[in-house]
Amino acid sequence: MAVLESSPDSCRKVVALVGNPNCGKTTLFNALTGSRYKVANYPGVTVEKREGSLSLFPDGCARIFDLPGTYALQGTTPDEKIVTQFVSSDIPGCPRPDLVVVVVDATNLERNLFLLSELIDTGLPIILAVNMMDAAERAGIKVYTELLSRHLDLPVLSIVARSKFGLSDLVGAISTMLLNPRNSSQRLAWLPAHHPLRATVESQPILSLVADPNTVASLATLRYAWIRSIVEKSTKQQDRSVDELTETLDRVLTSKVWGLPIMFGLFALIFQAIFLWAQAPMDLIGGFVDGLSAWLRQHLPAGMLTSLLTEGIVPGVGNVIVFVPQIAILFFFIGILEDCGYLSRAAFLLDNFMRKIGLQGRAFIPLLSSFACAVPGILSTRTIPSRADRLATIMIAPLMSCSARLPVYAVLIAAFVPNSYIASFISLQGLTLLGMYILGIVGACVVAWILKRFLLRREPSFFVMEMPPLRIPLARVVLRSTYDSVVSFLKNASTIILACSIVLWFLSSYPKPASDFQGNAVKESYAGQLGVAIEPLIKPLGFNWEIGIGILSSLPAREVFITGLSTVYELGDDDQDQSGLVKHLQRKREDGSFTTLTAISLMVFYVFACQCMSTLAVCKRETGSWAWTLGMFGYMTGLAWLASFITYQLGSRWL
Amino acid sequence: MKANVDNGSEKGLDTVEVGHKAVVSDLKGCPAELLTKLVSMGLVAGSEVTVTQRGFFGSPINIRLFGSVLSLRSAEAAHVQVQPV
Repeated sequence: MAVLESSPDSCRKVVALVGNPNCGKTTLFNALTGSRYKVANYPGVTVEKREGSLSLFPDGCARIFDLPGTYALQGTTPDEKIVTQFVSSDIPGCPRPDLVVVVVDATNLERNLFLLSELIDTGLPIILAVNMMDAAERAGIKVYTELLSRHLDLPVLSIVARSKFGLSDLVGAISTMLLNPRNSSQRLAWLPAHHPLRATVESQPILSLVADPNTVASLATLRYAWIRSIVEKSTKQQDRSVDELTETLDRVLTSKVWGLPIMFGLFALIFQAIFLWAQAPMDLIGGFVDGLSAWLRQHLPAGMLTSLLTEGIVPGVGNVIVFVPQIAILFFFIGILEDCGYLSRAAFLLDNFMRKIGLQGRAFIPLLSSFACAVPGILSTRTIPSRADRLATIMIAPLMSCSARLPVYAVLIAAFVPNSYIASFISLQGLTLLGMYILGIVGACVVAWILKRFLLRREPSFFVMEMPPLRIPLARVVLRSTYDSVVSFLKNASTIILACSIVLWFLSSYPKPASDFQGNAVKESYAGQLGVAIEPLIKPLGFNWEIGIGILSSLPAREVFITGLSTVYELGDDDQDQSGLVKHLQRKREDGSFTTLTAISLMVFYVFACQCMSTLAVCKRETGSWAWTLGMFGYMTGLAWLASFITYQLGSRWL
Repeated sequence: MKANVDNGSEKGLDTVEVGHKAVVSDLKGCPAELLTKLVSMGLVAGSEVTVTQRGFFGSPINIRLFGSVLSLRSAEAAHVQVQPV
């Protein structure tokens, strides 16, 4: 065995962190590597394995991987499968770990040791880190690590990852084990030597359990019996004590009487906050973008580049950055609910309803995230155990009105819905906005029901979820997750939307009309020609070629619609911002060239249409199938057309 | 695991009332995926569970098992045969 070199590129040793969901694995990872990653109090927030570098003792380093939480190596979700593949070096390009650090929750040793026992069977060198020793002590559980170590025949260390207690000893143990790896002698100790399945299990310790249900159950029972005997020999506990506070709160939060009112109240508050608190910072950013555009126009020489900057890039990207405050606020609240454990309670409350439309309680979290953005929403479906439920959730996630639709709704509502109140306190504009959100939710329920009824009917669906203890959210965790969401949104804005702005500017500026040209220059441009070409298709929806350009330009990202429409209307220098577009639309409403019915039909179109490249990309990645991805685009576009058609045709007959 | 069919006191976990304890005796008629999940979370013969909460129409049902609380539908809990304590 070579001595570990100290330069970072020579970190060849691989350490994997493995453990149950919510055992504090990611907190430990952050503490060991110094990188701050997202940890949350909801089963399965670690959606991908994260890598960091670990400094060893006395010198040297190792690559350390934080794997998703799992209860067993026969897990069925994509998340859990990653762990199994990683420890059996089944992922191309991924090295076999030299050492597995198994993190267990001291307050729940029995269940946590199940995974450890399976890992011992793989024959990999293992260190056991018993986390949350402080919580265990409070609960009256005494864990004797030296006894555990003797019975399991591997190094056992007690740690408290949240307060960084015991970490240097852990690093020391990791360093020693990497230099002198050794396996536990307790491999298959749970299986009696004369057991009829002994030979099968010995030959393939991970895969052996999938065979028939009776075998699975009886092997698991044997394993748990062994674990129980070890826990009895190495721990002492007074009465199995209960997290009283969590139980009391749960009786209220998940009660039949108060559960749903509390939940709807919470979400009403959150949505209220998104619109109220975001207004001031949004005005500020909007003003800054307009100012920058004007300043650039004044100080740069007139020409193609200036035009690209002031008419394409700055307003294009600016119109999108304006939404950062709303996204930040939404993710801030989701972060709080996630970290304190409330989201699992919401999943519990909603499972009945979700089951009726063919989904399950867990689908609620992806769908909630999708109100901010469908991309993180679709990514978080990885923790849903049944494939059918996961697919159905992915397919309807983009029907939740995301923050990219807000600019479209906001401009159209401001221009066409009177700013008046019903019964002097319900805003008509607010009501219209709420209507769009509800329309999307209802559509999603119908689509989910149809999918599960006809396409995915044969696949099993079940709901089994751990309820983590309720705790006070950590500011650092919540702020970190908010920051991550904003950064990923801005990354999107600076790539896809920047590219769109440039392409759109080009298509609407060229070919340049002759200098004596009198008509509408945009109509003659490439973009105009495209808009005119699709006009027959969208005429029944109440849209003309100008709106057609807006729709086409926003195929990659919905919010580009605003920029698209502004470009088409050739708004003057002072009117390039959103309020300029609103004023222009109001003038068009007065002269009758853009009716309120068209505006409503257009909003309905945006409720359903799949105008988002990132969503399609992440759908392809998560489903691994072009059929589902194209299916998503196809059904959403079809639904959008149909819903707009009905809206416009019925509206023009009745109104 | 053979079921103790003639034992009158054995019943499905879904029928246990809130606040009551029971010991798991068997898992019956589970689809393989669900069974793997349930046993890995500790629902094996001999484990003691306490029902702590039920949703509308009795589902989902929350049970305390070892040091944590699990939530599952009553349809899934029906596969878990228990002996009341």
